[in-house]
Amino acid sequence: MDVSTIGLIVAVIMLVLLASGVWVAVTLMSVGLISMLLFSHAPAMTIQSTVIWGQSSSWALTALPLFIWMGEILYRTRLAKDMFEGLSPWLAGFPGRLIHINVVSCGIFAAVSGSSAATTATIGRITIPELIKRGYDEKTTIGSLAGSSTLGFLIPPSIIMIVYGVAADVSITRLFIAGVLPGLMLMVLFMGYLAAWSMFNPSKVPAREPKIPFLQRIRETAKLFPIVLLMIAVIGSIYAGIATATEAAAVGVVGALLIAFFTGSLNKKSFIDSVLGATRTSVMVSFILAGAAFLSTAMGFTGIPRELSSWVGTLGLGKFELLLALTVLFIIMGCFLDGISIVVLTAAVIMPIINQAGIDPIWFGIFMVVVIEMSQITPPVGINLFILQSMTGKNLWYVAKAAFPFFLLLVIATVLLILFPEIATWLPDTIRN
Amino acid sequence: MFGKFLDRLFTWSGYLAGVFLVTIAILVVAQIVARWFNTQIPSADEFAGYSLAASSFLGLAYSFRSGSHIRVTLLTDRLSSKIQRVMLIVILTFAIAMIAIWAFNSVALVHESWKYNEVSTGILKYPLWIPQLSMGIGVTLFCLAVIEDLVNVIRGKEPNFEKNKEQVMD
Repeated sequence: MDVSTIGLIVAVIMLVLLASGVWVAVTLMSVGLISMLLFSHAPAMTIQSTVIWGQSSSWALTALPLFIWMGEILYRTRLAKDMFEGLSPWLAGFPGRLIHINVVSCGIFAAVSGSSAATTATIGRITIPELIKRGYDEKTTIGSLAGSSTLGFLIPPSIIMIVYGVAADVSITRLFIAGVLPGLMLMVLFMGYLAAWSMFNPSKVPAREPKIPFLQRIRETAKLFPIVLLMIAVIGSIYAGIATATEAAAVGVVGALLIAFFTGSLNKKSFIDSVLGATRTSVMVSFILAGAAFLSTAMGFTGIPRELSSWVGTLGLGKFELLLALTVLFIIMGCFLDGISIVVLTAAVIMPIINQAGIDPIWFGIFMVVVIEMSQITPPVGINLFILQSMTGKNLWYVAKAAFPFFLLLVIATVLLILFPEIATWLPDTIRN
Repeated sequence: MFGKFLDRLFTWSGYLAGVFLVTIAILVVAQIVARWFNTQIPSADEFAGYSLAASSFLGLAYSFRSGSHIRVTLLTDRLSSKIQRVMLIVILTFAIAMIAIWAFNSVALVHESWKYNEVSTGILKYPLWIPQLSMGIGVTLFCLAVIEDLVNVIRGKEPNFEKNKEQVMD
């Protein structure tokens, strides 16, 4: 049997299993096992246990549960509320006033949190009721949160970048550094849009609240101190090159526990809840990664990725066409799958193509995160949409429609990233030299 | 009676997974502190990796029962409830078969490491089967948890992974 027939059979098995509702991780593992047993002479059984053991006990992956735990601890503190109060006086003078608060607080929180879902839930829990109570436009409030939640994955630390780094075998630290400027660019795009929107819809922006006396303003701003300190400790230690991603995550956990302790939200119950919550998420992610590791080993034995990348080579696609095709692929996959599954499913097959086309794998990681995030705020499947839906009680289409302008801004960001790859590559290149 | 026993077993293995998660943090922090004093903890990185594995495998059954593992329900949700139940039985059976093979291979790996006296590569030499045991036990428990849910569905009860599904961060 030739490789393309094998490839087709493997793809069909995978689609059937996914569509019938088999767990993603179980699907990855089964497809790996089945294709290895059918299409190779390698000892599939021994390889399964050794590959999965090697993947699951790897040091590089230890950053993952720690960043997840850190987010779980912070979620249970009053950090988001303090951030709202600390930022409000400064945003009051902007066109659109507090409507910017989702962008700014998500941007800051993203720098201490590794997940979009955690960022949306932590920030939205405070900002949505507060903004609506003050008379801000509901649709723009929800839409701007949906858009800003994407910063959670783009601004380091980022769970999806750890997953990509492990799956594509590139430096997690460099990915973390590369994500910062694109993240800031998105914040500028979002805030620019919101400012323009409020100038065209002045009736939907409530009047400025009475000015707060200067001293009180300082006191309110001081509430930002803990999160800024934590941000410096986590991101700063990575950038300064004194800590690996794992060490920065451990520092983050300690910092988050200290914040929880000093703000009085640390008790036995919240501690245990945070550990168990982190365990569930981290087990879910590492199970998917284990399945994916075995699948990509199995794919190596069948020769599918090699064949596919040389086939793509014969098409003579330019870089731009290739990226366009991949963007469409990711968006279609995003209709059915979550971001992490998309990364692990495609990495084994796509990375050889990317390398062959001469595309920087660090840059591609950032590009992939932005595109996947785009697909996560479009229906029918989008983790961020689901969270917003359950938080606001609105239906999915309402949330999706509210998020649509921000989807377009993400498209613009993707185009900018393709036209000016330095947005992602300049900082890691500069820091390394 | 048996159901209650399983319930406790899976919950405790979940707690144990949590303990190993905290262990990772302790090991990494200890290593950072040790470096301030110009010393290091032997094999700390290796132990952190093994703690991660232990946490990931021992937590499998627990997180399965909490409905944390991802699956695509977009298409199956549109089917009638009768066909949905049949589908559920089919995919649970399939999953059990696959996880049983995985469990068997994991136990076989532990056995081989024990039989051939495999030792770790780090500074401290100790038998590899000890950390690998977490995979053997964890995956076996996971298989049991999926079997329990198959029994639940066949008996017409709601499976644990649906019942205990947490609201997305309330």
